[in-house]
Amino acid sequence: MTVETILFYVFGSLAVVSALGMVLNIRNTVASAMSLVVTMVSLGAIYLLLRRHRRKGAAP
Amino acid sequence: MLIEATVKVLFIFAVMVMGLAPIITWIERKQSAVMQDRIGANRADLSGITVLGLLHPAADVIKLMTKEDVVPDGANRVMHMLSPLIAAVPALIAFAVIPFGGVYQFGDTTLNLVGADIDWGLLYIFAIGSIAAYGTVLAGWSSNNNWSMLGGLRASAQMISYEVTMGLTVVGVFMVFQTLRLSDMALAQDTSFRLFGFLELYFGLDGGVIGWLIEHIRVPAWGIVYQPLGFLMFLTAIMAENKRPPFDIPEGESEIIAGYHLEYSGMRFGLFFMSEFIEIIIIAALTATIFLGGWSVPWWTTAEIIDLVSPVMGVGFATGLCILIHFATFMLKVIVMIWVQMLIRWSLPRFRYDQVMSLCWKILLPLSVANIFVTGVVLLWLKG
Repeated sequence: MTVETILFYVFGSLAVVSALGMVLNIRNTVASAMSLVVTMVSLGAIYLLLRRHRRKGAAP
Repeated sequence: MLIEATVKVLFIFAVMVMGLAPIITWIERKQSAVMQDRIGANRADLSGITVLGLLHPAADVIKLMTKEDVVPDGANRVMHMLSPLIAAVPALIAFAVIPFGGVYQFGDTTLNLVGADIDWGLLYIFAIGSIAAYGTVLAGWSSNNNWSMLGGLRASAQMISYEVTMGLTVVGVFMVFQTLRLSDMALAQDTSFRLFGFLELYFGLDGGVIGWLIEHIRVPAWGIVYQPLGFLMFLTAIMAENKRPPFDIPEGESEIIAGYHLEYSGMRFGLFFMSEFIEIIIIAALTATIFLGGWSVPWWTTAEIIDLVSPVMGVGFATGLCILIHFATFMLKVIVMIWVQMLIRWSLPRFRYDQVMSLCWKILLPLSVANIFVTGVVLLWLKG
């Protein structure tokens, strides 16, 4: 298991949990919105793990 | 690789954050004092030694660390504790993509003086900067105080409005340099062009005194030369994004006491305070990189400096000297931009809320779109 795999599972589970938090937080709108932010940030982290901070075709 | 990255991160933190940020609080006190014909901070002393008031930043930190951390009744505790961190962390990590030196060759090893050289560096800074808006808005909301709430609402409106404009004002620079990567952008400005070259090109003037003048009157190819209007608009927008006077309507002491950080005390207030001052350095470094040539020395390109020094001292020493010169130039530009911001902050009174909003949507936004249009037309015309 590489570091990238571990990070993928960490951020993937964070994305799922915070997405659930967004849907289930019906009493507290701000907490729901912040869960959405956490979801987006963890999706961004997964995107980075795919090395998309480089242009396609550029040297890694 | 890991060691190199760690050293760079520690260096950025030591120089930019830990070194420059406390000094800026001193600069702000002293500069305002000079501008208002006062003496300024000089009372913090260690057995009679005051060092021109330079001990005040240390006294500030000790005071903020030892003060009681109050959470008001009825506040959302988690958000109240979290929001200073959300405001401070983006300010700290935005330095990662700002180059403080160029790319240097030592034999077959390459030294690239930027924390993380990612291809969309400027977009990264904009993305990180919009996270900082959450910190202020949540701080206002979670304090259970109407003044804080008003401050948070004002902050959200102002920061989101100016983010749009801030993005549009630098599009002209992308079009000129054809890149979003800050290190490439600084490298593209490490040159100069002939100011009157068009005379030779279109009117065939060359030879004699006129030819010599055309050849030797050169202008550094900085972003501010290509995009003067873009520079002014970007500086306005990014200073409004930092919420300091004259754009400090979210704080507005005379109207809503202290706005979003009214209910904060101790080091949690200190984090808001610190992030504001770190953002000043980021603004200075970013404008220096995009518009003022970054680390490049005007009229002296990297190759010219190395060629000049290397016959005397050798190539390795010349490259090392070049790194020092470039870093000193970058810091000089940063300090000049910090000085300009302080000058604006202490010269202008606070704008009214509607003035700030109409400046953004009715003046800056149409002007930046017009700037993009004119830049596009000129670039197309130059390419023929």
